Amino acid sequence: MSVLGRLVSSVCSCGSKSGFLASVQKSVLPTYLTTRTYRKIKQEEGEKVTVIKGEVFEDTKNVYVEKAVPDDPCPLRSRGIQITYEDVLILQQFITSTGEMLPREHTNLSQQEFFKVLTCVKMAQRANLLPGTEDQTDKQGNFVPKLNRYLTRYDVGSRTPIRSRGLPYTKRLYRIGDRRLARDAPRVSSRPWSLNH
Amino acid sequence: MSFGRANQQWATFSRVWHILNADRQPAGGIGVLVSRYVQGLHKPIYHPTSDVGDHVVVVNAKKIAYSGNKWEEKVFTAHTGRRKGRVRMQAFKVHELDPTWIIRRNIYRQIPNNLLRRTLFQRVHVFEDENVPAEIIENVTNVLIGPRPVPKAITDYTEEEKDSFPKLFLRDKYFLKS
Repeated sequence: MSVLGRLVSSVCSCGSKSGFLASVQKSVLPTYLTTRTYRKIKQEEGEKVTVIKGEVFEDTKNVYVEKAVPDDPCPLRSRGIQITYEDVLILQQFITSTGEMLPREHTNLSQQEFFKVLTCVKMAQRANLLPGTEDQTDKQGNFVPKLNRYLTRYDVGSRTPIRSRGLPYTKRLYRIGDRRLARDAPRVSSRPWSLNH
Repeated sequence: MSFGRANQQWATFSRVWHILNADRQPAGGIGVLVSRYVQGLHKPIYHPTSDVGDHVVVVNAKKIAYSGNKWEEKVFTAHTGRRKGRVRMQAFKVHELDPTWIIRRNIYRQIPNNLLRRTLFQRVHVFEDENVPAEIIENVTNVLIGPRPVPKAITDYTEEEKDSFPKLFLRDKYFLKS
């Protein structure tokens, strides 16, 4: 049973923070191992014959965490998890291998949590933490080179340059991060998060 | 051989060479950190008129990171003094022409505006790659940590870590794994 403690500590320390279920964070969310069978398409090309098979295989390494609120279908809200764009191991569960989001019928996410995961996935893709990138062209059709960035709210080629930022009392600021994530995330200090630079 | 007072003096006032990797670090934070070490503010023996600053080598200046969409929104301006001499360039174009320009500008502006600024700025060595001449690498003795803790990409995790990470929902048995 020492495995349980290690897994719980990894869940709690992976960067996600608990909001209103802060009391649950330290207590044990029980985990158990399960096996699931999935189907996979396999294509084999011979000299004159191509064989397309639907193979069944077992996934024995599924470690499942139980919910703190069992009636809630949403996997994030029922466990009190608040995500950031850095929680790549959680976000990878909600996307396909190419980088598109899985539909809400499969994952049972609530609408608010779905949009939070969507914005986090897009921010992680622009920061090269997850697979799946956008086309790097400007509005005028010019090529934008691939550069390191983080907390990008908007699409890469969609913003126009800010030539005059204005006077200090009416300054036009750069927008960073997402408002919904910052609103719900727990804060230690009373100072608000800066969404504008 | 006894450890005399002269040796102690030379050891405290010696000039140290630091190295900093700018991979995925913010440009403004690097300027603050480097100017601090170049002036000597990290030393308890600091005084502005006594020359206690250190050398800093910045590596991988090409791979700097900006938060938000600043690569397209941020505009650097200049004027040549002549007519129609206003130059305005977006940050990614400036970076294309000279990858070290943004870092050097930030460091230069963080050092206080006095007569020591130009001599202290000569002790800052910025390189776009990891190709540093041997004369400079020989002197380096300390590694500086960047201001931003770089997050891990999904490719940086091992297979064991990915498998042992708990799942939040279980899919149907008719789910087609893609």
